[in-house]
Amino acid sequence: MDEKALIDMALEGDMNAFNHLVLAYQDMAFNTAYRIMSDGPAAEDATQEAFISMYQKLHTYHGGSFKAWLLRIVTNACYDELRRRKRRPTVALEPETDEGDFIESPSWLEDDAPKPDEALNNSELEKALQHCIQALDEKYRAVVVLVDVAGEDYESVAAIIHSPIGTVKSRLARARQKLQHCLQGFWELLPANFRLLDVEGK
Amino acid sequence: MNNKLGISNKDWINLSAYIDGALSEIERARLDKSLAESKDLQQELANLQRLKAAVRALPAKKAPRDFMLNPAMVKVRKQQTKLFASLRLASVAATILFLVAFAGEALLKGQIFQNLQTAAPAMEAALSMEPDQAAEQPQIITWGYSPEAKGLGGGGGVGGAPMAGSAEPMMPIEESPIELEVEIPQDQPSLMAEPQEEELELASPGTGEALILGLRPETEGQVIEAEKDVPREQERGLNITTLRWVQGGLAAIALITGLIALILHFRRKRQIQTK
Repeated sequence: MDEKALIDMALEGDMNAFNHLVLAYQDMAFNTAYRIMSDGPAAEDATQEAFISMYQKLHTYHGGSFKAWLLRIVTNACYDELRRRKRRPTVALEPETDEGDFIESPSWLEDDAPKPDEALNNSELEKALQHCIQALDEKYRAVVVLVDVAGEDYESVAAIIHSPIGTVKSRLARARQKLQHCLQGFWELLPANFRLLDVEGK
Repeated sequence: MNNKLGISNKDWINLSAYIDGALSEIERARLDKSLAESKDLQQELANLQRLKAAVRALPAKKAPRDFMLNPAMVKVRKQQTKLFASLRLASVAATILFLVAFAGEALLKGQIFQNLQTAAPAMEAALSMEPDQAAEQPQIITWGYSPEAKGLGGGGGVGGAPMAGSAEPMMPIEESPIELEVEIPQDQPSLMAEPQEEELELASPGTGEALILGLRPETEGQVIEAEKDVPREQERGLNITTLRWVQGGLAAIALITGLIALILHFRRKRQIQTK
C-alpha cells in the first residue's frame, strides 16, 4: 500500500494504517534521534514521543515530503528531550575503587569478543565522529545530522528547522569546520582513507 | 572568520555548499575558478569531502523496538490535549475580552474627559471676560443645577465664587440687610432692560428660587427647572461599575483557566519524564 493511502486511512482513524507508517519510518527516526542525542534510551524516548506527536498532528500534514515532515517532528522531540535531560541530568554509573577513585577502563566493561581490524577501525571512527557530533551545539548538530546522516537537502532542512536556506548553509559549514577541528585529536584512530589532510598535505 | 589555511568564512561556506551541490551556477563557476588557482582551497575541499564521506558512512542505528502505537496510548493523550487546548483557548479568549473591556472603560473615561475639554473653552472665556464686557452681557443664573459649570458660563451656584462680571453674591431675601432695587437708566442701553423686558426676580436660593436674569415675560410665574444631568451621571457610573464587574470576572476566568492549563501541562511533562 502506498504512503498517501496509509496517511489517508490513518487520518480516518485507522490505527493499523498509522502503525504501518511507524514501521516504515521508525529506523530512520531512531537513527536521526540517536545521532542528535548520542544516547540510546534518550533517542528511544524522543522517537516514541515523535510518533505520538505525529499521530496527533497528522491532520497538519498537507503533502510534500512526508519524511521531511516527520524529521521535523523528530528533531523537535529531540530538542525537547535534550532540554528535559539538561534540567534533570542523569548520574553516570562510574566505577570506583574502594578509595573512591574512578576506574577509567574497568575489566567488566571490556568487550572480550575478538574484532577484526576493519570493524575496530569503523567502531573507533564511529565513536570519534559521534563524540565530535555530540560536542557541537544543538543547532549545528541538527543540521549536520539532517544533511549528512538523514540525507536531506538544504531546502528540506530549512523547513525542518524553520530557518532560511542561508542559515542552513552557514550552520552546516560551521558544523563541518568544528567537526574537522575536533577530529584532529582522533587523527591516528581514523582509517587512512578518512584521515584529514594537514596543512602540508601529508 | 578565517581558518588555519587562511580561507575566508565565505569561501568556507561556499566549499561546504559545493560538496552538497547546493551552489548556483554562477557561484559554482566562481568557486571552480578559485579552486583552480588556490591549492589551499583544493586541500580544504578534499578534507571536507572526506569528512562528509565519514559522517555518511556512520552505520544506521536500527530501532531497538517497535514504536507502534495502540489506541489507549493516544486516547489518554488526546483527552489531555483536548482539555489543555480548551483551557488554553478559554484563558486566551478571557484575556482578550478583559483587554477589550479595559479599553472600553478607558474609552468611556476618555469621552467624559472630552466633554470636560469641550466645556473648558467656554469656562475660560467666561473667566477671562473683562468686567466691562460682562456688564454688556446678561448674566444667566440657573438654579437647581450641579455646582459644576458644565460649560454653560455659569458659576452662580450656591456657595460658588462669583464669576467676573456676575452679579454680587446674593443672599436670601430674608437675610439681606437691604432691599434690592434694580434701576435701569433710561439713557444707557442695557441688555438687561431691552429688548425683551427681562424680569428680575427675587427669591431664596435655598428653595430653588432666586434672582433670575434673562427670564421671558411669558415664563413669569412658572417654575423653571434646569435640565438635570444627574441621571446621566448615574447611568455613566452604573456603566463603569458594570464594566468593572465584567473586567473582574474575565480576569478571574483568565487566571483560573490559565492556571489549570499550566498545571495540566506540567503534569503531562512529569508523566513523560517519569515514563
